[in-house]
Amino acid sequence: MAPYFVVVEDDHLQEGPLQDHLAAAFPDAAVETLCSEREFRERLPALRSRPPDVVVMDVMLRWTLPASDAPPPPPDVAADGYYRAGLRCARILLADARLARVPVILYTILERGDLERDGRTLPSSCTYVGKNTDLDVLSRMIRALCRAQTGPVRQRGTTPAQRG
Amino acid sequence: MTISIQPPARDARSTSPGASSSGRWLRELTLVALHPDGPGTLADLTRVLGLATGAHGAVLWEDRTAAGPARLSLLSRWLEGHVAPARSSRVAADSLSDHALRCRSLAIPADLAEDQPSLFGLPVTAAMPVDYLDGCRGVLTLLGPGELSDEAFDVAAELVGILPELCHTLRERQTLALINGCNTILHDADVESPDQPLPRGRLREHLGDVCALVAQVLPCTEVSIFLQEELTTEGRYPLFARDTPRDGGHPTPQPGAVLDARSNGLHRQPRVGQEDPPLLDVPLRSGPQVWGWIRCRGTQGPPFHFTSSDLSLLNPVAALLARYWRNWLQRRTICAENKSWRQLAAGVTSFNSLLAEGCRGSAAQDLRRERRVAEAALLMVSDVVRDATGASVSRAVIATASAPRLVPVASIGDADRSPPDLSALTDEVLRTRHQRGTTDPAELAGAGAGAGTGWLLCTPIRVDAQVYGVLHTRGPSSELPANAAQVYQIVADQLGLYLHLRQALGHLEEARRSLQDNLRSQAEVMEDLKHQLVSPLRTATDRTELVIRGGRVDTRVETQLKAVRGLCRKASRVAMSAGVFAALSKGGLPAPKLELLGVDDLLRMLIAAADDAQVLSNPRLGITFDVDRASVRQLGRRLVDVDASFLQQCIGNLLDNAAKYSYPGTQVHVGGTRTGDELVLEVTNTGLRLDPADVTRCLQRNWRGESARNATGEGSGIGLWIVDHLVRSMQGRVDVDVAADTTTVRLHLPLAGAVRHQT
Repeated sequence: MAPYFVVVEDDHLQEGPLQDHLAAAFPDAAVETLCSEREFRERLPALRSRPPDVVVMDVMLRWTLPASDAPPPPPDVAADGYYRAGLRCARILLADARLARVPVILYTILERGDLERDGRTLPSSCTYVGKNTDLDVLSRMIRALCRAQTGPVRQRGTTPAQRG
Repeated sequence: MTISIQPPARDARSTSPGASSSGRWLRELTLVALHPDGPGTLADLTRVLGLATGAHGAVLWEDRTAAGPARLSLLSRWLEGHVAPARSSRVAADSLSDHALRCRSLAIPADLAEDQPSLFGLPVTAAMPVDYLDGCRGVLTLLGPGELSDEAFDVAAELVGILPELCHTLRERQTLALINGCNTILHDADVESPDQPLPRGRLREHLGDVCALVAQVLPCTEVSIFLQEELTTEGRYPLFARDTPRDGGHPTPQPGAVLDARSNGLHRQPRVGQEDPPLLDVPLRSGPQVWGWIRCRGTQGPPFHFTSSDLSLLNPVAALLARYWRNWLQRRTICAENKSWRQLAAGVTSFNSLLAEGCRGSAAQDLRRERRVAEAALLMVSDVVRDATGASVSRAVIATASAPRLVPVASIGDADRSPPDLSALTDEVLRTRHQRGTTDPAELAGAGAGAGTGWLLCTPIRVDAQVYGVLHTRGPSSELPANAAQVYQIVADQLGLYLHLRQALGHLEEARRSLQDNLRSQAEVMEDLKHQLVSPLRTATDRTELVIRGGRVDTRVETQLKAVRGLCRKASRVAMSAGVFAALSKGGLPAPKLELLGVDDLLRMLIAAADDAQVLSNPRLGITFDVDRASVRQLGRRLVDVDASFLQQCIGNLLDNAAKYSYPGTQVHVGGTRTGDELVLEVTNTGLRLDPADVTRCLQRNWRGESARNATGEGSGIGLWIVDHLVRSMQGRVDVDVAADTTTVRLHLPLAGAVRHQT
């Protein structure tokens, strides 16, 4: 079955190159992009029916796109704000019985130390990858997480024999 | 009061009063005791008895001897007007009366002609026993002129039968009237000064009135009240008030002013043959405490001594006076305490002003200020606690790890002349951090306190566990003055808070300086980073521009290059913003490099900014950026005097905001208007609603609108703040206009005086 990745990224300038990279690195994969926390929450029922193999999650994430009919944010979002929205989304996944095993890559410009400040810990399903690292690091991490779950993932330009 | 009774005619009495007159005399007798205007006297009762029996005189006796042979003493008498009364104060009873007392029966003389007993020059005609209700026995003796008729005897017997009840009633009513009278006097005293205790002089006058009333009721020649202000065991009671002022109204000590507080107030009878007037001393007792005495001295008329009835009459008066005196003392104490608290409150208020003043200024003036504050504190406490004769403030200086050393800061009174050695008390206070005082003579002597020192008190100047110093105070009285401990603790706490605050302010000042240094160095680093960033970004922008203009790339690459150019410009703008932010954070203002820009320069700038915004905006949202060229051309040949990079920065920030908060599918309008001597550039977008009340606040640093915060969450709220500062640095201004979902931000830029000629 083709791998299925979900990218949660609200900056379209970063989302484009990331999409291009993932398409090149995982030609068989289906990549879905969600651009706000609200969109992510609305997609949860669908994600439960087909859990993604990996979620690539930005951390500083806007709640929603501006709209005249946008509902107010739920209390936890209003209270905690936008700066750690990705961590909030990761915890939602972890608390969901169907989605708890989905690995999450926190793909952020923030340093890991920023996320773990004041004794905070990352959700157990999360792996940290900084945005200032090469995109190949990200794809290697995705591959490793997929392999740990379902077995090898086909990579462009390699064969199973080559991968050994 | 005196009861006026019309005596029967002489000729009518010489026969007999008659059985029918018995009822009349009974009424007369009852009226004496029960008259609605007030009770009469025993003398009135005796007079009615005499008149009823047709006698020329009547004498009422009582026997109060507890043991030994009975002895009658005169209680009251009535002698008809023409008979001269005896002046002796001591009258021996006649044999007939003694007989009546001993035999408990009527006694009449056997033979009127021979050896007839007489009293006051009148023959005794009959003596009848009387049993008073208090258990005392007595006799009614009737005097002359002739033998008692049978009818008169019947009348006398009938009247004597109810005499004990009437005597008792009379006394009860007299007591009640006296108490009421005293109550009225004391009530008037209270009314005279409802809020404060009556001044001593006025109280003396009112108590003099009480004495006069008592003297009138008993009756006696002199009544005095002795009162003690502080309970002592010495039993010395100074004279306080008299019924009539003597010695010019100033009370002088009297013999008997020192009284035995254990005495039960028993009256003292003068011995036979002794001319000393009789005395009746009754203690003013409230609970177990004797506050003073009321003394009655000398009697006016019979009986020529004080009786137990007099004592019973005086006891409630004494209780009333004791209660009133105790209340007066309490009110005086409370008023004095209230006054001292008010003084303290006023003192603390002005002291706090001084403290507030003391907390301002530099640390270099600390010592001088601390001395001023300490002196003010000492003046305040000496004003509140009048009894204190010396006070000083010492500051604890940590000399070694264990023992602080005290350094004198300020002192007043005799504290600076011969200060005692307070090291023992002080050490204890520094160790326990609790107030410690002493009135123990041995301890005072040990501390080397002079003879004039009755108390010493050391109060820690502290906040929590930190002791900053000690407040020493002393005074002459043998006891610590009321409130003194609390007053000193309050003032010491104030001093402690002041010193604590000064110390905290010193630390804060240090922290502020350090923070300022840090901020300055951070700002410098940021400015340096800006310079390092902006230069390569500009170069990258220019080179990208060159490639695009070269036209040797396909459309897709050109789009990517335009995006790169937009990103470079945006990064450059962010770097510039960081520089402005740094300059503003360290208290500086952005310094514009002004140049004259014409309409073409402005249009190029606006179009480039709009293109960048378009390229960088999310294509999924479908927001378009449009420059209204015609509106900008209204500038004509006029020029604006602005910093081009500042203006570029401002327009870029406004378009960033518009891209962030506009609804999908809407248009962002960039235009211009020329009004008077200014060019107004405006950016209008339709998107998240800005509350009209927030129009002025949105230019403040770190301010973010409610809807923006709720909807997107992103942004730090410094974009418009920077725009505002940049525009103002160019002598312009920013205004924000809101209409429903449409927000317009206008930059008002001053036009230059010069014009650009057409080329």
